[in-house]
Amino acid sequence: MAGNGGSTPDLRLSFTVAYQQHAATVSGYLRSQGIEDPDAVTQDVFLALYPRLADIRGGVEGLRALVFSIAHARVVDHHRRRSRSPTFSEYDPEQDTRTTDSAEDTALIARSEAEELLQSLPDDYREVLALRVIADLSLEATAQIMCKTTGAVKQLQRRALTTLRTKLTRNGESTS
Amino acid sequence: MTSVDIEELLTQSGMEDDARLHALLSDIEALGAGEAPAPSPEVLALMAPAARVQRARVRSGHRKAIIITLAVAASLGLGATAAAAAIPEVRSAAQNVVAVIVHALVPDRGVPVAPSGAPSRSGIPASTPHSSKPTDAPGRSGETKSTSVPRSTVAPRATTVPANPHATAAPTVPPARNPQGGNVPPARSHSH
Repeated sequence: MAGNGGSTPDLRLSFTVAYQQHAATVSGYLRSQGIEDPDAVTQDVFLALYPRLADIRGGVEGLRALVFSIAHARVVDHHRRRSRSPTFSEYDPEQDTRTTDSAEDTALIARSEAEELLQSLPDDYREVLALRVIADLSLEATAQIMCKTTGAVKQLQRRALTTLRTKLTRNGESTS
Repeated sequence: MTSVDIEELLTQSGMEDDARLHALLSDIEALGAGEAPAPSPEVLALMAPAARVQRARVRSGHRKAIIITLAVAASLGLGATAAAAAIPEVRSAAQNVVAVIVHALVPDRGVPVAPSGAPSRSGIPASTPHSSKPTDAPGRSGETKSTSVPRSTVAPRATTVPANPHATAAPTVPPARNPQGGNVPPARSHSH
């Protein structure tokens, strides 16, 4: 994908295809990582991808790895920024869990159980599951993005799954 | 990630028999299977032109209105030329093309169809809501204000297909002209 001034038709076409193929997954990945506005950050990810398209190696898998490498960097930046400056939000009665949930609220909560469970995991566990399951990345690509060895990623995903299973069992006991 | 990959992931961790975990991972996988966010203007500017056109078609909630606006604008542009204004056949053909496009894309909307050789300005009955502003009629911008056209030579040649079937029973009143040559919108009460 050689570029000519960064705006050849081939590059634009590749960019368009990349967006169509990965934008939804990137948005879902960002949402799973607790990003407040995943759609907006998705745009940032693809704007950062464009100048690097010409240097992609490894075909489709290479493109996917690069896209989620950029998305992962955005997630790290987001959490780092948030830890430095805590955000303040207005009181929202909808978010007040001290009230009794309506039937509609209960249905919504049930629908997003997977997301809630994912959010309850430690950062590393959540990250490895999101990259493996949502982004559909291989062990090797996940290890590269997370700057870990393949063995470390394998260990992380095993611990993450064990934690998830424990939470599932606990949730099952509390509802029964 | 397919269900096979999820099984592989569970097998790698020694949990291949856990059906609840398998179902949960499928739900997690579905988090990335939603609808793609609409590209921002900055992202859109980097995309292939065909994608931009396609996106505009898909996302525009006022597609019909835009098409109609473009068609009317094109018609007015054609009518503005002296050559087109001087040759009724050219104007009529152009407006027929516009009418066909609009009718094809907005079939539920009545479209005045000018017969070959008929002046376009006569194609809009004053009794329809669209005729409340006669100056908006396609092809009128090419006329000079000093031109005086007798009403009797214009209105009887009208061939209209109004959107409202009841409008066919209403008398057709051509746009009136004031002594200074400007157009005077016809009163709505004339249609009753």
